[in-house]
Amino acid sequence: MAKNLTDEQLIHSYQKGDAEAFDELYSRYKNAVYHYFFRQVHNTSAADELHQDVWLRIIKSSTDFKLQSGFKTWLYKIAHNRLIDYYRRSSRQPLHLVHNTIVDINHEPDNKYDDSVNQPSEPDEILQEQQVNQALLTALNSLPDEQKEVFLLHERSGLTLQEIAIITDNSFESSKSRLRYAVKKLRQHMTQYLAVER
Amino acid sequence: MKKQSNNKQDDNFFDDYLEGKSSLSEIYQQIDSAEPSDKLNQSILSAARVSTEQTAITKNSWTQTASWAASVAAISLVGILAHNTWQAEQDAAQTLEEDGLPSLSQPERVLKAKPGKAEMESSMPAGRSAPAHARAKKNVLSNSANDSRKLLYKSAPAPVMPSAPGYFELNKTESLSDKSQVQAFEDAHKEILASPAVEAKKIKQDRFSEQQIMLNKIIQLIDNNKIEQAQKLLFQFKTNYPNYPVDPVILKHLSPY
Repeated sequence: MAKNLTDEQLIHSYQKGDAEAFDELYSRYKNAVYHYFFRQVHNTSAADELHQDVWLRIIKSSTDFKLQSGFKTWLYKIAHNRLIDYYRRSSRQPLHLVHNTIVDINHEPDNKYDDSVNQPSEPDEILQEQQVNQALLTALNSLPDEQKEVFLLHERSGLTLQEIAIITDNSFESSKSRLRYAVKKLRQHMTQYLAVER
Repeated sequence: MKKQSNNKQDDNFFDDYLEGKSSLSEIYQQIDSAEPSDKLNQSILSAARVSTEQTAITKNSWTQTASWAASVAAISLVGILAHNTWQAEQDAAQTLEEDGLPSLSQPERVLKAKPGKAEMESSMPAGRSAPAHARAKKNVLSNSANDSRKLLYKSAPAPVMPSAPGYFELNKTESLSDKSQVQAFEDAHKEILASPAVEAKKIKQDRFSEQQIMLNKIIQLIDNNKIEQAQKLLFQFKTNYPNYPVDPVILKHLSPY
């Protein structure tokens, strides 16, 4: 029943006390939100903390949700603000300055999440798959935070550029420009692998 | 040239990417499977359930508080309305008194001072509240004012002074045939005018009472079949107060005056 409802209908049901509506909402966005944090802070415990904080804020302030904005935009706006807050509190430098070194292909930070979904059967294929994955993650980590965030929001969370502009408090053109640069750099890093893939 | 070609390739690649045709997306979707742990999921879902339960409890308590508040408000409203109604009745009674209606004890005082005027009796029934009494008097006055427009000779009720009406009620079947009654009427009127409550409006009332008294005298004369005197008095009245309305019945009886 809840599966047929929109995000906005679900959050309204939850406002009225329907806990199952929240379960459905959470199941829809839990992975994307967690991924958004994990790929930016690159730390499992920090990602856990941020993920939990965001959802607790959603729970506490669900009554503040207004129909004018979509639930997804609202959710990621909270996530974005929480991430900025995290950066401020931890006095952490932007990711692209910290992770601009080439990560060794055999070194897998939190590599439990980096396994390929479809396991190749041959050792050569496994190695090649790992190389591609690692190259992409390395390329992603080398992006400036702003570009990486826009890429993650677009690629993993499925947000439109307009929604990303709202979430990040930027103009549409600025968001599009950031995404363009991000894709361009990733392509440059992945040229050989993309050719292989093709 | 080569740079332009690269830019064009980048643009095409970006356009493909936006349309979801890029292999970059395919690779990325395959490699990234970061998920929150089950423990984390459970803690968040539990928090959501606890929150809904607490909200339900808060809502119930709030509903109870609201219903209590509504009850108190309703009771207060009824109290205020009752008080205002009572106050309005008091004010109405006071207004009538200030406009020339004597105090409740006044008719009795008049009657006691002038025992010969036993026909003038207080119309206040025993056990009636002061405001109700005032309202009743006002109604009587209103009725008698209407009656005066239908004044019929011999059977007409005695006119009542509009400015100082109701300090005694006349029996409608009675006529002012007795001079002593007229005298009592005038005395009572003077007494009313002398009272402090009427002092402020005395000039106006005097003027108004004079007109009414003259008309009463005219009626008295008609009553006594002194038509000629009544005609003279009416002529004098019309000379002094040309704009004051005279009952057409009087005019009919005395025409031509």
